[in-house]
Amino acid sequence: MSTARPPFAIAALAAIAVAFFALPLAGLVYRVSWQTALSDLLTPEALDALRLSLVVSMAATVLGLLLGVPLAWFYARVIFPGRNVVRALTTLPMVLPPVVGGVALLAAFGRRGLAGEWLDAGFGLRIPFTTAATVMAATFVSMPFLVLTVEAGIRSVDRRYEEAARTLGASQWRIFRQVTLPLVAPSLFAGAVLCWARALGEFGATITFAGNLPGVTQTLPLAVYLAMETRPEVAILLSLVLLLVSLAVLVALRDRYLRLD
Amino acid sequence: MLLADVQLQLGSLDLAVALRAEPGEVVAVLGPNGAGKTTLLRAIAGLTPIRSGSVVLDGVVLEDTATRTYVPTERRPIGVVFQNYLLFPHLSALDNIAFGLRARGRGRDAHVVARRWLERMDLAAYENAKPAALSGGQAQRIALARALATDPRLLLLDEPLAALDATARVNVRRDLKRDLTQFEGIRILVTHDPLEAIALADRLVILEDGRVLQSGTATEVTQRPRSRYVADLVGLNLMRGHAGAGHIAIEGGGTLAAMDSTEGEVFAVVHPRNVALYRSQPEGTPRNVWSGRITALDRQGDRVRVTVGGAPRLVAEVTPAAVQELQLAEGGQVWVSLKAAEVEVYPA
Repeated sequence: MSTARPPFAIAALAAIAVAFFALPLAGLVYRVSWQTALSDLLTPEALDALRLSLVVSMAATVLGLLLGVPLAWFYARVIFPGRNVVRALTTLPMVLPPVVGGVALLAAFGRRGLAGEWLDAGFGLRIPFTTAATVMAATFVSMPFLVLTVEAGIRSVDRRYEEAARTLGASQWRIFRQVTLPLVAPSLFAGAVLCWARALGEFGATITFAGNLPGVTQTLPLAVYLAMETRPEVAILLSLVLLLVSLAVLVALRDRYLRLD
Repeated sequence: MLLADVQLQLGSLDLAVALRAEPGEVVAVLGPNGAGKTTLLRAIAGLTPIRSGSVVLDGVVLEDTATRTYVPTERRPIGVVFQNYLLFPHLSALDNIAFGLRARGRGRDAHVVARRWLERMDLAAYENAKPAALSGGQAQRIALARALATDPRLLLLDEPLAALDATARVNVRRDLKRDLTQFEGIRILVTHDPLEAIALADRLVILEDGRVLQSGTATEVTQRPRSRYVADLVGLNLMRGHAGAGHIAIEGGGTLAAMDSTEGEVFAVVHPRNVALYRSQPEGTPRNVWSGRITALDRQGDRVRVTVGGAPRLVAEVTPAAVQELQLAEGGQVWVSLKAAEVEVYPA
């Protein structure tokens, strides 16, 4: 590392960038009305939103692990025609505006949707505007983070460990469970945390596909948005909660798995 | 018995090898890096597909391209000790050994059997140790136990000592030799180190550029290398003897002074280019000086291998110019001199 004095122009612009990120955080802390903070946080609406957010984000993470890890294994280990196209398709939600994702989910699972009509007619299942829809919206936008992280992890595993397991008589399924997965444990953890954090912050797809029903589909970000109109002090407090959670995730990951340095 | 007839292409390697190993035999496949040794092992284990040929173990066809037979790796009764051992880093020493037992449906007593193997390897105290906490020699023995625990008919070892530093190697090689003796199936090891091959194997197979150049017992191959290449690789003077007090009594006559302090049954190895020849008795520092009759002169490329039938019998490697100068000829008498420091000694 150079210890020479950095050029003034660069230092000034960098400082502005830091301020750009730090000021909103400071503003949030400044605007919190600490006297009523506890009672604001303990209102039924806030608690409902908090509880729902935790349930939904964790459900999305579990779903993501259940479906996303096998998908990541396929991408990393199996060469099949159209792999790049399929991978692009499952990565799309990372760059898609979430509200577009919500519209697309409605088009698929809405009452007149591609699969929704069939689910309704055949099983009487109506997904939109339920907690299930909230989980689906969160999974839709967050699973790609997990898939990409785990795929990179599996690709970096020395395949000779898997070959050693084969010479010991292990089936592919046993190798996947007992050799590959433990070896990618750090990537699994990082992928799951990223997935969970993204699911926790989900807004656009949720409000489009699942609506804004308190206690059923109104997660923290939705509650924040709604409260801004009626009780801004609650919105600010809930925002601070979300911000601290995100910060904690980033700090936890930075040291161990993200290797930002 | 193993009958492997393997032809395949992999990158720039064109491998065509017929290998036969008898029950109870230790075969060393010896050759330089890139000769195709590891690929040969992988093909026998079913990890690298063969283009044409067959692998038959104890009468069971594991692979035959003519009949499109292929028994997958996980169903072949073959144990493999990989280079760098590849112990599963997330499992303890015990669970590494138990892995194969569980995979082959012996989950019930896997731990009991694995623990017996740890005791056999004198590593019972390392039951819960993760591979990262083991020394190279310990990791090697765990890898060997892991491969043997499932009772394979054939054991393949890929450069079993290459991952070790020079000081550990001698001890680990001695242990490995003992452990290999206790396994009754066929053992094939791959190495680029001639001494390792000689110390561990009953028979050598010399491989270069995907072809077998020569095969035979260590004595046959070291004394009568059939090409310049084999001579360079393994054309060593290999003698068995009994060491004590700085001297080695060589089997078949003669005594050599050596710097090594190893005692007991040993191999003494002398490189032919370190053997000096004289017309008359030399005076100087070398502590091994004797005379003998030349029994053979073999010109190989730019060198001549001169076999001197003294006690001990030895091969010297000299230039054609030296042969002319000293007027060396079959039947002629010559003096041999050898520094004690150039006698390498290995426990037999």
